[in-house]
Amino acid sequence: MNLIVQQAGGRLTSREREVLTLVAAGISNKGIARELQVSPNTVKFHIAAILEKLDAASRAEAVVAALRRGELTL
Amino acid sequence: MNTTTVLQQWSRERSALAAALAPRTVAIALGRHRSLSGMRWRGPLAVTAAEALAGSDEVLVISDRGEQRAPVVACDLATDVAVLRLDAGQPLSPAPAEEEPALAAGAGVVIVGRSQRGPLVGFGAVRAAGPAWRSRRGGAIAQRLEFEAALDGRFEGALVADLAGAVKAMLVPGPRGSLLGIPAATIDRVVAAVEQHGYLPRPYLGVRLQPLWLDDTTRARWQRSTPSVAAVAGVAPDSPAQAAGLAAGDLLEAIDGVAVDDVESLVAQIGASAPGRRLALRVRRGGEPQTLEVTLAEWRPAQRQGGR
Repeated sequence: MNLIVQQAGGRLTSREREVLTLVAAGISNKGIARELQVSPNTVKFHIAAILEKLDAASRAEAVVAALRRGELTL
Repeated sequence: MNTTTVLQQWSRERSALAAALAPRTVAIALGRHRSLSGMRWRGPLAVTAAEALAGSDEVLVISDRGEQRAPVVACDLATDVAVLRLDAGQPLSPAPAEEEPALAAGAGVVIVGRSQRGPLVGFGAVRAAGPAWRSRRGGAIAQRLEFEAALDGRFEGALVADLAGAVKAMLVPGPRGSLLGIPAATIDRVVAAVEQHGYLPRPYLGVRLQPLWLDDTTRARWQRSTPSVAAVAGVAPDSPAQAAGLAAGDLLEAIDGVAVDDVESLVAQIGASAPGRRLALRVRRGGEPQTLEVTLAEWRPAQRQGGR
């Protein structure tokens, strides 16, 4: 059961949530690429999109913003 | 005349202090023209600023003993501490000791980093010092430290020492151009976990959260000091949260008797707890307080719960 409400800035896609969850765990771009079986450039592309959507200046800020929005599991 | 002026003495002592600390520093090359700083911590492990590594899993490290490629063995975005493993066989460096006194506002500090070309030195002062705090990055930091100094980006990850030469913190950029210090105690918590496990184990609770904004009447009735409270928006299957009986709609008020002010403070408190730790969660369900016991699991990629 989830009680998540829509917020401004656009929801993350499920792929973006997967990427950000791995970022939050301190996994490197190459490690994320291996885990999700995509190229490191695709990972960088996803991270740039995540920072944009969450209006975050850093990876750490993006993680906290996504946790606040109920988009990541703690 | 063979007298030494006070200024000459001052100048010599400054450069001697910097020279004594420089062997502890390393430079980390980020591309051809950019670098950041780091410091040897204990044994083969060195630390630097996590955010600046931008997801690298290996970096080029330059120190007074030459160049080497070093793996990034841990990257803790919440505290901004990344741990690098330098070549085995290098002389062991003792960890900076937890020496008193703690830095106080106004105290002088020396900040020593390194670029590809050699040591970088800056002198400054403690602009603000305070008790333990939670950073905007969601990290539990042992002491709030802000510095006043004229430095550039190459100093990110540099060591900050008091004027007796005791290493007190790592320099990291803060909001609005401020210079923050990650205290030695917080760095050591991350390094010690890496020494014990070979990597940094992550705690996993298994909840999704949302801030819930309370009206003044409810706030007063529940005796909350902050306007928002962390509400459980979802519980992951087979998670510690589910095992403990947490449910969507529960409001998290305290962990082990420490008040949870909002979502960020919950993130910091959980993030600073090791997997396997047993916690008493005080929640409010249907307006009534109750306490649930939960044992944190270790986060695994399989638990990434990306899609829904």
